[in-house]
Amino acid sequence: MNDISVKNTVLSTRQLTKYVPNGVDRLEILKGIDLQIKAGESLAIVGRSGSGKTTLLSILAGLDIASGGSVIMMGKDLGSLNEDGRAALRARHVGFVFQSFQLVPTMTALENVMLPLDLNGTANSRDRALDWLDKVGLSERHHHYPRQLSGGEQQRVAVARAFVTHPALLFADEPTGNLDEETGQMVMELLFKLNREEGATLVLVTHDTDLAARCDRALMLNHGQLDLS
Amino acid sequence: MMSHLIQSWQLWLREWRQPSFRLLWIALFIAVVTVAAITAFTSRLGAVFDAGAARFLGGDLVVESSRTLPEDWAAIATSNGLQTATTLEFASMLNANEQMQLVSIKAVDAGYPLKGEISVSREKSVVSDIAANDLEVLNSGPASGEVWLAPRLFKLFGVALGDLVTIGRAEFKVGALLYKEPDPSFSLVNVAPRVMMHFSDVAKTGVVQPGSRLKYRLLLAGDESALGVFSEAVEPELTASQRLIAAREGRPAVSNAVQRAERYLLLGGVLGVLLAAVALTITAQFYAQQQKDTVALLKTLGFRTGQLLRRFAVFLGISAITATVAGLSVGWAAERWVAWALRDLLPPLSGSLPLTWIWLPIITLMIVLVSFAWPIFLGLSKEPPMIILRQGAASQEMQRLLGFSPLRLLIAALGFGGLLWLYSGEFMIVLTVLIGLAGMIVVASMLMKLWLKLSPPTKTLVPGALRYGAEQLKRRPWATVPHILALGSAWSLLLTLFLIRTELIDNWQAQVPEDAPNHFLINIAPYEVEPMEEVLAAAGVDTAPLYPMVRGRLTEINDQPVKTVVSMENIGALNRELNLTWMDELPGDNRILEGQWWDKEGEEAETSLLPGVSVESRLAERLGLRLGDKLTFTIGAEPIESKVQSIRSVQWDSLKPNFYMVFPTGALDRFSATYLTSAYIAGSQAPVVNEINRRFPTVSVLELDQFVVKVREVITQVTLAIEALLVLIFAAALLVVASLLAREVPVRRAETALYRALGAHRKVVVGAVWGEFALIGGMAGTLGLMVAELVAGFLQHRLFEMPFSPHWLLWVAVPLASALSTAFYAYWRLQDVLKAPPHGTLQSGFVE
Repeated sequence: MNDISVKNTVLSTRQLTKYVPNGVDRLEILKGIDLQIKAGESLAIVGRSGSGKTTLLSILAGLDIASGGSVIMMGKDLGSLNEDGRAALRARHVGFVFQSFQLVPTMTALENVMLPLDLNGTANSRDRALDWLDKVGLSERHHHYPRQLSGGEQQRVAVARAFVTHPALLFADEPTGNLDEETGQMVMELLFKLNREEGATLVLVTHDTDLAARCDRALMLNHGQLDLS
Repeated sequence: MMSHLIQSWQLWLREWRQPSFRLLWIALFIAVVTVAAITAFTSRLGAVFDAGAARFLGGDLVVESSRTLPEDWAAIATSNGLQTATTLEFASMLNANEQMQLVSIKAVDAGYPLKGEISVSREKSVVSDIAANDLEVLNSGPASGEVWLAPRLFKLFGVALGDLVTIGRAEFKVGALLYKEPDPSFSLVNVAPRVMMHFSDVAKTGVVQPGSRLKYRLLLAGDESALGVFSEAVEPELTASQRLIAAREGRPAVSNAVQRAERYLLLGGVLGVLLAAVALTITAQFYAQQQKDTVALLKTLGFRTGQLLRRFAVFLGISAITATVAGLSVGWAAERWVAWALRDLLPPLSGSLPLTWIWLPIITLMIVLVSFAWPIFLGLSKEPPMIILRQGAASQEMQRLLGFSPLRLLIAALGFGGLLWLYSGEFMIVLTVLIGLAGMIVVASMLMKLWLKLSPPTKTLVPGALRYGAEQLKRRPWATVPHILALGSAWSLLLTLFLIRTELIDNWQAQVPEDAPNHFLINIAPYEVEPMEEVLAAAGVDTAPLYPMVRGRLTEINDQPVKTVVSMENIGALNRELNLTWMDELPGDNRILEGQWWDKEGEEAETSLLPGVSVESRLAERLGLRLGDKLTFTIGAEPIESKVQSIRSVQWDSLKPNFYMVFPTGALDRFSATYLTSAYIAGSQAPVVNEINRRFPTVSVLELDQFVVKVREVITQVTLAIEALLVLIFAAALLVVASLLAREVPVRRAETALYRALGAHRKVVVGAVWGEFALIGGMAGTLGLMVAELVAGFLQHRLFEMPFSPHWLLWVAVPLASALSTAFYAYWRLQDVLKAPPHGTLQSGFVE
């Protein structure tokens, strides 16, 4: 690993493990994962249900903590940070798209997109959020609540919310899992397009092999281990 | 049948796994505990008050007469299993060491005292020398041939224990110093110090002659049914000079305190039940909300409305039964515990609890379930599944299903009203509380509408936490309003009780303070007024003003003889002379209910026509007097005419001189008056009493010491009871708040986790939680206090007959306390989410 590659690496893990207690025993979900993700790269993590891919994504994004090993994000060891430290890192560098959209039901589409900007204390949050809603084609519906939007529209709001802070890293957990094929396809087109424009690093969890094929790289997770074949 | 039961039980057990269902069960349980504990406690205290009042009267029931009582009355009482005692009170002269003094003699038979004890000293005869252990507590009066004397008489006559004194034609040995009797009398007629003797000795004194002013009393004690039988047998035979007195109506000072305390306990019970109902409604809504997906799914699977309703009926039915059994057990234990904890302060409790203790909680539960919980499940069961599935929890459609529609509010109001009616039977309480709560709902809704119209607070003006909080509130008005209402109701109920309690206790303490008058000085001649004031001032004694007093009879109302216009039962008051007085200033504890008090200047013109008179309100009511009625009094032989200018309420329990009829200064100038006043004479100032007796031989000094002590004892008991009740209600209020926030927790967890995932610093999230809940708490506290001030003010005025003033300090303290406690509780419930990585919480998503 030379200096340049270290510089280009935005996210890396070393001997990452995760287990949960299971009675007297413990259930190992991740078993010694080593990986490096470079800036601007798009990476798909694929695997069957229960292979540990969502857990891996959560740990990579700092939403969950590892049982062993280390995760380095933007040069910072996530294990050495407390929850607030990780939150600060997420606020600055990370965007998310969830399978279940995770929109706040009591906020309008616009307020949901403004949310991360407001949390960061960014100026002009309203204009910037409107801008992004426009980019995902929902500027007309900015005052609608999540329940008034279809699944695809809700996910587009979530995509706008993910990009609005210009994150260096974008994590997407089965972003099309709750959508029909056509809508899913549309959302993914949007996601890849915006990702290209923004130059963000995309880490995507999916069981859809077609989707994985569109990424620069795909990693297969099998029983908690990377299947290098 | 059996398999149905088992199936229902299994279904119920499965449901039990849901936290929201357990919360509903806990609310049911709390409702039962609150009602059971309060009912049990109130009935116990009622018995305690009755016992106290009976002790004060000398028996549960007393027949009083100015002539000998028929002998068969005592026989009727004994044959019904009642205990009896007879006493005779009269005034006579006591002679000793060649001095004479008018004394008030009480002759008692072997049965006396029925209630309470007599405390005497047989060792020492100087009061200041007597220590607590010198006093003997006895259950019988003096033996024949012996008299017991009030402490003052020892000093006045210079007698010692064992000396001989004379009453009429008989000689008696001074057997003891009479320190305390259980039923001291208190009237302006009974002015002299007490002497107690045996009933059988009365005849040999030869003092009691036809025409003597006598008071025979037959004291009775026993259970209520036997007392009832006795009353029924005797009542038709009562003559004009005889009357039956029940313990509660015995003494105004005590019975007023007890009556107010009972009303207060009743009110406390009512508010406790309401709080329980509020908690139950909130949890039922929460549970119904959680059930919506299941209901939709079951409907999709082909469940019919009837089947769904049966399912909910099974859940609620089994919950009601189990909660009742558990609640009654705990309520019973709580009542036992309170009785045990207060065992030193309250007399021993006897007898079993009335059955209301069991059926009242059950009926309460049924009313609450039917009027508050059931409509919610009914609404949910009737809707098509897609409507339920598609609507988010915060949507207006869902609020329509689960929230407060006008019809549901009406059902709830009817339920509340029925519940309160059942509980109190007091129309005034029910109406006031309901109107108060309805007013709060209206005001809260209006405030929320106003709030929504306001533009969002700007960053520069409002601190971050509050701004986030305010934004949160704006986003979910239809979730926030019920919160503020429920929390506000809890506050208003608690504060109503607290305000009335404070006023009640302050009021009592103001009436019977440490330096409450303990001596009345009466029959002061006009030329003695100044020297008397000098003597009292020299001894450093504070007195009430000296009031002039003219004795006169009311003979005509509007030129008609009173005997023709006033009904027979009310004429008793007019058979004796009334104390008439005049004054310029209305005494502080009197209140004008109708008409006007005279001001000094304006009076001149009035007197040229007819002098005004201010009449005490209850007498006015009994005599049917109205403003402007013409009254004719006969003073001596001379008539004086006047017209009713005002009607006044009087605090008879204030231990200060009070009058039925008050004239303006000058109206009674033609008549000779005597003066009276009341004073607090401390132990160290006791010699002044002897000096007054010596210098003003015609002035009567009436000692009230024992009476004041008694009143204070009763008030202490009542105060304690009220405080215990307040603690119970406070616990119920806390549970409302807890159940309210518990309902909020899942949504907030999801939201908080999302904020954290998006990179919000802990401070921001914590600040938003604090800000939002502090605002909810602050608004609820303000609203609650507003309602409480209004309701308490009204109840105080109408029910407790006390003046009311707003409590400015509370307007700062309550909103602040409410804001802080609500925010702290919310923070405490959410703190694990604030610290933990968001992943786990996020996976469960937004629970709607």
